[in-house]
Amino acid sequence: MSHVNGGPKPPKYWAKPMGLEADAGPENAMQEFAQPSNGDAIALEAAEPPSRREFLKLLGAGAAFAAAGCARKPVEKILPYVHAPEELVPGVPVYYASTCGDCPAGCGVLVKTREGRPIKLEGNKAHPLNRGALCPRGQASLLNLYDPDRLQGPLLYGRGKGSSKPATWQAVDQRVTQALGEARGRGKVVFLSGTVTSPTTMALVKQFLASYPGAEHVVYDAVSQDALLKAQELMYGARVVPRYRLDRADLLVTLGADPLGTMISPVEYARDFYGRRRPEMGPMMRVIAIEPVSSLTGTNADERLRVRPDHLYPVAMAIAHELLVAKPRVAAAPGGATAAVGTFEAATVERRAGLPFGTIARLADELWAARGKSLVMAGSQAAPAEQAVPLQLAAGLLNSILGNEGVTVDGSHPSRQAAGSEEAVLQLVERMRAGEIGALLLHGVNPAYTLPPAVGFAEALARVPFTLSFADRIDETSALADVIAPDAHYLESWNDYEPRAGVRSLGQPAIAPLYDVRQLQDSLIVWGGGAPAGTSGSWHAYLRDRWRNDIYPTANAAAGFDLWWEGVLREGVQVAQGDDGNGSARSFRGEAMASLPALKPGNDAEGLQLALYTPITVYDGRFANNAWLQELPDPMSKCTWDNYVAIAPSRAKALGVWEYEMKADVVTVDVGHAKFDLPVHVAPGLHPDVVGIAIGYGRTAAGRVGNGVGQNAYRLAEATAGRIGMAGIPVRLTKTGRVAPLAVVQMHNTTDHRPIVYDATYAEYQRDPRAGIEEPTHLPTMWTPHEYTGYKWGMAVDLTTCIGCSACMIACMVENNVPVVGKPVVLKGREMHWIRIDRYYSGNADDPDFAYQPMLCQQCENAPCETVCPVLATVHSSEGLNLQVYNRCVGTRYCSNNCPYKVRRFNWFEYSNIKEKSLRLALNPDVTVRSRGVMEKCTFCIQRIRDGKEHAKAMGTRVQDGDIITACQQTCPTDAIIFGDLNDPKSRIAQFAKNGRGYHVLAELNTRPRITYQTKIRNREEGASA
Amino acid sequence: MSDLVAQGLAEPPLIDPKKTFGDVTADVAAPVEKKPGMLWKVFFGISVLLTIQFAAEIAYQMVKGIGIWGLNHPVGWAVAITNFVFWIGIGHAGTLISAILYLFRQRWRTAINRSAEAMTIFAVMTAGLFPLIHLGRTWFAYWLLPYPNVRFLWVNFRSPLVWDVFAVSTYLTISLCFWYTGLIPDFASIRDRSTGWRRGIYGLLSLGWRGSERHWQHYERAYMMLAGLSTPLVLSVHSIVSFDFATSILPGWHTTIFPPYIVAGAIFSGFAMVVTLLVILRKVFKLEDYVTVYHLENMNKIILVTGMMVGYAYATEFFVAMYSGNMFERYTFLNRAGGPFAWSYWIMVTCNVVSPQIFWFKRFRRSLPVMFVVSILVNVGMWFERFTLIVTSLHRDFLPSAWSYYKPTIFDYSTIVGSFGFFFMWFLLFCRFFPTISMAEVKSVLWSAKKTAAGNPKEPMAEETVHA
Repeated sequence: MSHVNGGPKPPKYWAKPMGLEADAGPENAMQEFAQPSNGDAIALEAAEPPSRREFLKLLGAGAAFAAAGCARKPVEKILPYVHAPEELVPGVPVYYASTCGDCPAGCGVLVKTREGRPIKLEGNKAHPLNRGALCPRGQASLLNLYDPDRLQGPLLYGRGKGSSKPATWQAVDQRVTQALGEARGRGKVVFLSGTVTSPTTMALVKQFLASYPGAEHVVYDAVSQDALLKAQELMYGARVVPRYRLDRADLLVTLGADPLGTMISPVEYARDFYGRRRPEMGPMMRVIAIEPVSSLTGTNADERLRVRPDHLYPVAMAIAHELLVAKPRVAAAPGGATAAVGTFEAATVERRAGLPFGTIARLADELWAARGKSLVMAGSQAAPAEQAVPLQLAAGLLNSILGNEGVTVDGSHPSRQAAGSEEAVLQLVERMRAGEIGALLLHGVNPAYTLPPAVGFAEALARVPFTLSFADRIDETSALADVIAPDAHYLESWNDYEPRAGVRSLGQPAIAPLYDVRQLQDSLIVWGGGAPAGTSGSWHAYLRDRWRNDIYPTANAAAGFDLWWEGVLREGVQVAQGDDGNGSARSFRGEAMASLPALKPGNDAEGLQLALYTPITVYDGRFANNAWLQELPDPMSKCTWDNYVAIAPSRAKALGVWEYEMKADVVTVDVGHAKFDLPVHVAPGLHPDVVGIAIGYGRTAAGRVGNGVGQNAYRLAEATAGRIGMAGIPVRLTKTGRVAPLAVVQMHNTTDHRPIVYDATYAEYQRDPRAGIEEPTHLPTMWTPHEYTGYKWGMAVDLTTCIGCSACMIACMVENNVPVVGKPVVLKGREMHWIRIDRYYSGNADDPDFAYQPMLCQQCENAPCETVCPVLATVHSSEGLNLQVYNRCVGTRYCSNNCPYKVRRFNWFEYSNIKEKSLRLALNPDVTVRSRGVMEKCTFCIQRIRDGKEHAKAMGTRVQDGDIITACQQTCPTDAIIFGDLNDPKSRIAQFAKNGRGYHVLAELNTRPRITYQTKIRNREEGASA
Repeated sequence: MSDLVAQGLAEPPLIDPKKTFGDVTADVAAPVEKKPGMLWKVFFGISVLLTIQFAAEIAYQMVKGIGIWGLNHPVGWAVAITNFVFWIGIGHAGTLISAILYLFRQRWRTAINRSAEAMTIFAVMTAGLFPLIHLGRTWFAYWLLPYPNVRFLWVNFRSPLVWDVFAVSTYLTISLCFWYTGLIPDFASIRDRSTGWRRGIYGLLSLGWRGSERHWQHYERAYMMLAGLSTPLVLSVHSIVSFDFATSILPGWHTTIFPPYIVAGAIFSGFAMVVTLLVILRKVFKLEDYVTVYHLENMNKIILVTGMMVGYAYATEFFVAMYSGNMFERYTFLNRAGGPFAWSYWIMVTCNVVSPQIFWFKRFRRSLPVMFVVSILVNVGMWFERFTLIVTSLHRDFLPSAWSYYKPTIFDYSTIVGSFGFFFMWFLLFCRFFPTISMAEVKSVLWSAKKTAAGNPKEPMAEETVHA
């Protein structure tokens, strides 16, 4: 990356890229055949050596090879609809507004269906949270619907014995009503679930449980916001997650929080974030991340401070100390606050946390300067268990004394996206062990996998007489149940959601249940003795009735209920009337400060500390069987199909371990109560005393894709004093001497001063929008330029707003039928993503700057691929696209060799032959699947361009700006990708292509790419690049 | 005269003047007329086995896909294209010896041109397999030909791969004609010495050759014309193959030096292969009197010269990369010499530049074991030159994010040994059924040798001239 911050270029820290040292010899040419892993379920064709029998067969075939003729494939008949559904036009997609139900964030989606099957999810523009965007998990949740490992019907399960008996729903109902009846006498009935954002479901659960004396609803989230909830309760009296308003913040300080990655409502935060980060759109927000491991937010921050998990709290308190005591500026500090911060002298904390002297005073000054327009967010699981709540209290205190409460922290529009209580679930296990629980119903949780083994969930469960799971598969927990009553996927279900108070959305089924499954709510209605009073039977009716009675009257609708209901279904979301969206400050309870521990005297314990973090991909493990997400490279490490031990380079050197191309040294991770072996990942940007491991891997009963991928890091967590600790756990690493494959898609991490990513500071940008760009100005060409009389498609990618979340990668896979290849094939360097996110480090070796760069076909004007194809299979269109004609391609791969961006992907095997029938349903019929032996690449979603042009033609106009949006652009939460017609001077893309920050990657090659990148602007002091 | 020879100022007799024309025919036709020896059978058996495994590899690949090779995303070409360029290079020496040396009246070529031409044909046949099998969809390889079709599909004449199709097929055709034309009088000699069905077959092959003055006249003219046609092809075919790389934009490929550099390399490797083959051939078929150490020494001199040309090209490439100031070029060459494939680069330099230097010494230049070892080293080196060129340029090009490594699989190795098996199978068949030395041409050399030896040139007997 180019550094134009004045002065000499900062040193690049690995003079030799990793690979140069790593495998410089044939002795390392190991692994001609990568170990097959469980990824093979979808890994279509990993090359295997032929068996002896096969070899002999082929020997014969070799002889007879020349004589082999052609044969017609067997005739496969297709039939049209006999009685076509009225609203269905074959070939025309139908969109249904619904709500993403695979995590509690509750983003609005539009489900694109073709001939009755959902094929793509797109964010619902009308939904105030995600405003049209989706995260990678939301995009990929479509695959969960078609997961071939889903249960196809209810099971009467011999718990623990692994013997299962498929049953009818009638038999299940009988068994359950009988068991629940018996449970009435034997103990409590408990419904254990993850956070439920559906108010109607909550009402139904309450109603259902009301018929059992003492029955309880326990909410537990593996990725927990319990510390935040608890702290909010202490400070403001209500156990709610406030609405964080990044759009109003001039300064965002995170303390181990990852709002852009996995915290509570990442799409909402990212959409708020980008609006304040595009320099053309007014004053730019500044982001300071204080964190132990590199999070998505931290790697996008303007300044990153690396601290150990146990120093997050002292640092937060020291900032407060600076504001309240050292240089008192706050007029009315909450009672008790001054006393609580008393021991946190900045100098002491800085020394112990290893921060440069004066850092905390500077942070305090910056925060104070931005008072009322700043925001402090802390991670609930980033600090050690005993400091989790204090850290949140400290963050809350800072927000309060800075006057952010009611402005950037809005408690009057609380979020309902997280409600789980660690204390409650730990108590529940104790009560189960004590035999107090008569029946346990589990929904949306997998405690046998996510609770630390020391809690002893499985043993406690054995003492519960009746256990029922609503899981859609025999997972780690439902394997211990008596009955599995599989819930329908959210795309097969009716539901409602209220992720934020006043924002209500509906979930409507986009397809009838694929299997003999029944929605949770329908099951509860049946087992609760039929429809509850005042409703007319099914869950659908129950839902409608509740909306009729509770919400319709508040809507002030002119229409009758039925019409209004249809309108809401169409729209997908209903926002409470008469709310200006402004929050009001809550009153801070000073007594909360009493529970804040003082700074521990003396020095901190030496040694490594564990920090378990939630990965962007598989989240808490619920997406482990989703091959799209397993193959999605982690944005920071670029590693797929695995978790790993992330350690700082200096620590790796000290331990004598390293990461090589596609493999890494294996270490034993030992926390005392648990240990396992895992390969290392050398992660610049990590605190040298911190060991980062992702949760969500190491599933044993996720399905064929997710089983045995990585190690279960929940086992390392500790449960102490009613809290589950995910960070700050003392850990020992020992070198095993073994080397294990690690499927990394990017092995070289710096740009080596090549003209790839340009960056500049905000001040430099303000002086000169072209700051940082070093492009050649005069590039002659011998070719006659193409002429475009009609459209001229182009794209802009803004590196400043791109946060690397990788949602575009999944969106592209879904839209364009991009195959998943599996770990053994990724290890060979054959992943198929049409768009990838390159991640480059620059600057300091231990604490680098990050830059994310989406890289896709640049649709060059002077395309190197076009001249070399012998059969004209890749040609230039009259609208400026590089077309790839699959039918004509013979597979020389010359185009890929000649592509400087290396964005072309070759079908080494027959990837389109998907063996699992249910997975074929996820294919987009508008995009052909590619056969073996042909090249493929990004097409700028040519099917969407086609669609837009046909639409415009029908309307008798030109395509209007914004009518055609590519799949990657559609899902981007930060609007980093803009597509449009360069020939239309008023279009957004034309503006972007001309604006000062635009440049082209590898411009000096004169390929004249159609993608204009926008420089990365970092909001920091000049010369302060890390 | 012999003093002059000793001083290296005059050519030594190319053949022992005591030989009669009858001896020549008998010696050369012996392998064709006798049952093959044990050594031939063993070599042939091994070659056929290797060829069969090659066919099995190709069959498996057609069924599964070229993913069975170790290729990946930056490295789209590796062993198959290396083999292609390597074998095309081998296919250079034959035509060079036959055509260019013929036009330059280098009479020492007569003992070796036949086998060298045969080597060319088989090497080009072997090479020609690889562009076909390396395609993702081999069954559509004919789409590279500009044939009229109802869909109005045409080829891209801007693509060097299309030029390749023409260059290689033209080269094969002309070489085949040239070779066959030279064979006609010799087939006739064998026909005249054999009986039964063999006589019929060689009769067919000799196309009714009777050795009349008219035949000889036509023959000489045709041979001369084909030599003239072949000569530019020697230079063009490998120049065009080098365009596959030179016209791309990839650092390490995009170089103007490529045509001469690759052609020099081709001659270098071709001569080395001829030496390897002849050292064995003359021993196995007892042709030491015809393929003398003098012949081999001449070829070793060419190896020495072309080896230094190749070495000079390596140095030039490096210099230009450094001098250009282009960061991509510089990195590519530093990466070649010091990157993960440095082993390949240094094998190439050692074998191609260092090992031929031993030929500065006459003693080694004339030593059969030394030249055998060096010729094999040169071939190893030239294979690695092609490999280094292709793979090191591809595996790290412009965007560091896309960099990767390349590991061959068992199937890649299978194609390498398989190509040698395929080549040697044909070559051994040739040794068995075709006259490996051009009898007619050797006889003309013998005639002048006799004249020189006699001091007083005397017309040799008429019946001895042609049909001995």
